[in-house]
Amino acid sequence: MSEGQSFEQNQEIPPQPRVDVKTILEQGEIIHSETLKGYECYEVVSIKDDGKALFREGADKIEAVATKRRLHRNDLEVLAANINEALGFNLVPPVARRSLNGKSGTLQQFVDNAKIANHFLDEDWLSMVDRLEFIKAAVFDYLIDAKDRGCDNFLIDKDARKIWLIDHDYYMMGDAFNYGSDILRTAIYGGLTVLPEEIIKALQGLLEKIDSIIDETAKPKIKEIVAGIKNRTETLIATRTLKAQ
Amino acid sequence: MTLIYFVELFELDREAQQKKIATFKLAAEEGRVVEIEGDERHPVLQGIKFEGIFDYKYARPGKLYPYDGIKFLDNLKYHFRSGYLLATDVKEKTIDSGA
Repeated sequence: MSEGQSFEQNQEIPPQPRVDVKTILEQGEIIHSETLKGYECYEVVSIKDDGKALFREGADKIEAVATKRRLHRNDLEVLAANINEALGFNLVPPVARRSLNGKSGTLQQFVDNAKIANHFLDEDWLSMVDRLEFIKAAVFDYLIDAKDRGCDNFLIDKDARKIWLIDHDYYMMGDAFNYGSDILRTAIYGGLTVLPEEIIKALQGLLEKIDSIIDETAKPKIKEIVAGIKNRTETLIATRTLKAQ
Repeated sequence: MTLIYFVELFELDREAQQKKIATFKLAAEEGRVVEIEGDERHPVLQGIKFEGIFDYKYARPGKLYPYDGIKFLDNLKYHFRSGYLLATDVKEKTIDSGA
């Protein structure tokens, strides 16, 4: 240490542990919650020292429709997050099952620096995101056979050139609706169909883990969806090419 | 007195605060076109007017637009269900016809 330098200036800051957002969502102290106005039941919660999240109750009104078809939003949101995690894509905001005020549901990290994509309908939103990020999103939507990925169901973070995929519910992953995915269509029509090696490796990683993503107690429809994801993963690995739904 | 059906649409800002961006109104006895109260330049409202929304309720093909009246109004809550954009259910109110 040379003269004039303070003791603190010479202390190295130890590397900070990587924040595990999912653990924070599961266990972080909720210090405030506020019900949002709207038909779907949401609450915005503040987690002590760790930002905000959106709580969605499992038994909501649209759920009543989904329940008839044995598909529950909680299960689908968690499944989408788990598939995303197994791929290592970081496209779905982290989700955890959680109870709030006596109600069971899911808690998803609130993305504060992104806007719903339909804010950019008059602009070339594709140029706002990283090319690999976009292809990952298209691959993800192909894998889950996304049925409602319009511009109201994904977010764009212009600063980070990033996409966030949201609303993995009955309409997105069930079988009563079939709009498809704007992201996947854009990739197909734009000729962005050849999968880079990085994505092939991610798909291989998913294939290794997919049988453990759900357990034996999962509902039959969830198992059916996972079986479809597995088949499409195998197809992409074999063909190395993205194709239309 | 006039019976009005309406839906309110809210958006979350960066601080996760809800802000109302539009009210969609339909007079029960007059016309069948939903009126949109809000900043017409807002991209979400522009999108609704020109791109329409899907019929989630009955999964019918095609899209719904403000001129589809109550069917359009009734599907807004299914279309805007993300939390980031959230629509209310169809509500009613009675207003003075002279207002």
